Amino acid sequence: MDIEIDEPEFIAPLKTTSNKRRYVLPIDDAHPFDLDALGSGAGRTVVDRLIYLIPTCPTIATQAFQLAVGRTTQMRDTTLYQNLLYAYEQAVAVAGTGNPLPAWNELTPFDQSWVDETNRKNSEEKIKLEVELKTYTSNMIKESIRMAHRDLAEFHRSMGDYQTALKHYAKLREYCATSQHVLDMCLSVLELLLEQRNYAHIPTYVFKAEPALDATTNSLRNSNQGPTATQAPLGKEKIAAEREKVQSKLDLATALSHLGQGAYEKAAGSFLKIGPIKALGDWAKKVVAPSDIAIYGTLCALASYPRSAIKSHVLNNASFSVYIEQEPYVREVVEAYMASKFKTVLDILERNSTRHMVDIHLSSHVQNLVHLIRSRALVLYFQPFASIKLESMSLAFGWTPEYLEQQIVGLIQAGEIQARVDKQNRILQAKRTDQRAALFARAMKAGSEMQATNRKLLLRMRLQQADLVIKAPTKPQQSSLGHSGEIHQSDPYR
Amino acid sequence: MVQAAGENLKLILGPLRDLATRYPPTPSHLTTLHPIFLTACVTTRHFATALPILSSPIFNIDTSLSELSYNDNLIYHYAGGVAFGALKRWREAEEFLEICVTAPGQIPAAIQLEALKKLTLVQLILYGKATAPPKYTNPTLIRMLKNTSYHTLAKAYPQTISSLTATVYRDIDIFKAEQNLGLVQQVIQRAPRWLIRRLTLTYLTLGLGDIAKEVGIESEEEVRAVVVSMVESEDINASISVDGTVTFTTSTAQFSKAEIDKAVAQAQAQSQLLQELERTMNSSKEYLVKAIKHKDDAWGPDEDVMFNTHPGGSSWADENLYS
Repeated sequence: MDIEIDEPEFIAPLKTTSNKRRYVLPIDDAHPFDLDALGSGAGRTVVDRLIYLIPTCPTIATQAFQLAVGRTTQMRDTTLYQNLLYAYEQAVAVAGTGNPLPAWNELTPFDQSWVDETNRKNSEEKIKLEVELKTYTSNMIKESIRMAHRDLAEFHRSMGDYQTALKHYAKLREYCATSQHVLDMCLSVLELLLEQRNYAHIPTYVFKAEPALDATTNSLRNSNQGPTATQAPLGKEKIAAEREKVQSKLDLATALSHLGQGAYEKAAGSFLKIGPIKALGDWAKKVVAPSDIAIYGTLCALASYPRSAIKSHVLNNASFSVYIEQEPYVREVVEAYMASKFKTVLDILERNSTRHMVDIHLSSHVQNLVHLIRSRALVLYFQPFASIKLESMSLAFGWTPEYLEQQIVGLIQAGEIQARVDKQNRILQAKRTDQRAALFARAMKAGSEMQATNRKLLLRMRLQQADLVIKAPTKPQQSSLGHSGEIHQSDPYR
Repeated sequence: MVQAAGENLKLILGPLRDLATRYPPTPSHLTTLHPIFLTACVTTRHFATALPILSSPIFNIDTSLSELSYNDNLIYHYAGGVAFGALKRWREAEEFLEICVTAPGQIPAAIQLEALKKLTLVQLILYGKATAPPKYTNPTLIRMLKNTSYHTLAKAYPQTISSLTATVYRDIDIFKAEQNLGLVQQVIQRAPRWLIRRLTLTYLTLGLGDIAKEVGIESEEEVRAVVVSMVESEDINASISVDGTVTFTTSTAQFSKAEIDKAVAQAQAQSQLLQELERTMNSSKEYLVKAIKHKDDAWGPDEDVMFNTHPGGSSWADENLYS
């Protein structure tokens, strides 16, 4: 423990995004979780996810920790290593006396030498790159300046220094000559933003990338007009494939940004638009796993789309079903929902709640999404009924009648369900409005209100005509104050 | 005459009233007498004497009759609103106070702010929530209201009596100083009724005990009394059974043919009036001059060149149609 405190580069612990709450989630048969699937990813996100995972699920903390340590030592970010250790400390603290976890230095000794070595290498590399950048800037060769900036940005990114990386990418923008460059830059920035989970900036870069993408495809197409006829069709397919790759990446980025900002409907739309897995290329491993895409897409769709839309977009969507294959329980959820077996839906969601909670993109939204899906289920369930016993409804959902009543009252007050609760007989009764009488009432009200408004406006007009308007404060203001004082010598309402 | 009467204001109420009824050409003209009379009435707390004058709404101004100032308009309507409020005729009070608040001008007068505060309280009594004043109110006024404790009260309304009293208690000195404490207390008294009204929307039957819990009143007897009074004043439709469950029913108002005919006749009369007004204005010299000048510019509503409040009336009235 002393070693850590002395360590000069010990930065403050893992910065938590706004409303992550650390609570312990069980992982057992009722809540299955597949650590290996997580481990099959690549890149920095894996370690990030593991770091998020460790304190929340102490039961598999040890395995996760070992996996993470292995990965981290392959990269060059020492702060990440320390974050990892800190996270494990938290897990130990949380696990407490019930199920004590072995302290980390029993699992793997704190590799001080690796830390020192990496730090040294990092600073060397940094100096080297900066010298390069200086040379190129003095040479004024645009292309090499661009590449130097890009290398520096990559370097800072792997160090975990997001701000500097972003700065370099911004400088990079100035030196971009072709739209291909712009495209590359945008994609790298998007990767960076996704790692950082900085959802707000993603749309800006997507917007930058799209015209660049169009320009590139056009130029590729044009340049292919030249060569022989046999080559041209081949070129066209390749162009389309290239374009699709980039487009899918952009779609994924947009979708994640919408999810991050809570715009579930838009997120669902974007997720369902993403092309085949192949098109995502290396992002499929580095950023988000295909099974995750399936989960995000279905959850957002269930929470925001009406049933017909779900049927057409999710079930009958060829490319999306490839994703669904990755995670079979998603298909079960959707089918149960369509068949109105809401109890099954809720059960499956509950079972996989751990899986959802430990996901870095999804965890802050899981509660909202589940709540939305629940409310929709309730509304859908009640639609065909004129009146229904609260008991039968609670059976259908697997809740106690009291809990159901609370939910229903909430929905009625929010205006989603047009019904009233008969508390004595425990019945939910749909509201029937007499349209004709309501129409009459509205008409009368409108008539009298219009007359009153007209009268007031006439008076106002006359006042203005007679120039009886309120003027700037001189004596008149004081006298008006005086008048109100006169009137109120005593409170008239006591 | 007022100064002469001095302390014995109530002596002059009779003569003032006669003068006020006979002096203006029609009851709907505003004169300088009106505010003087009203002020006298309110200070002496003889609110009912002002009733005959107040019951004809003002919509005519003729400056040739007397030297009117904008203050007369303000004071008359303010005092009128106060009088109606004291008589518990809330609807009319609201209208008068609203006229005071919406009087035209570049900047608001202090009395308008007082009127606005009272208006908020009256609206809470009438509707259970404060509605925004019409579009042509001075925006400074609205901003000024936002900073006062009336605004916080309006936002917190309706809640249980205890929590409202707690909210009010903080600002109780302000309320007392502005002589509004009585109104505020009435507002709080009526809070349970609005809570119960809300309950009728979600529940079909509810036990008295449950209502008591929601509304925050301790005794069931009190709750029963409130429910009964609400049924009597036709705020809600309910029936209380022997074992203390209240069943709410909705009933939409039924309108007889006579009522509708009357309403239609009134509307026709008013539209007639408006048409005549428009005709006179169309023939006025100033309008014709401006209309010809702008004929090339736009086809559109040229009336708003002259008086920009007039054509807005129809669009504002439309907004209220489906509220």
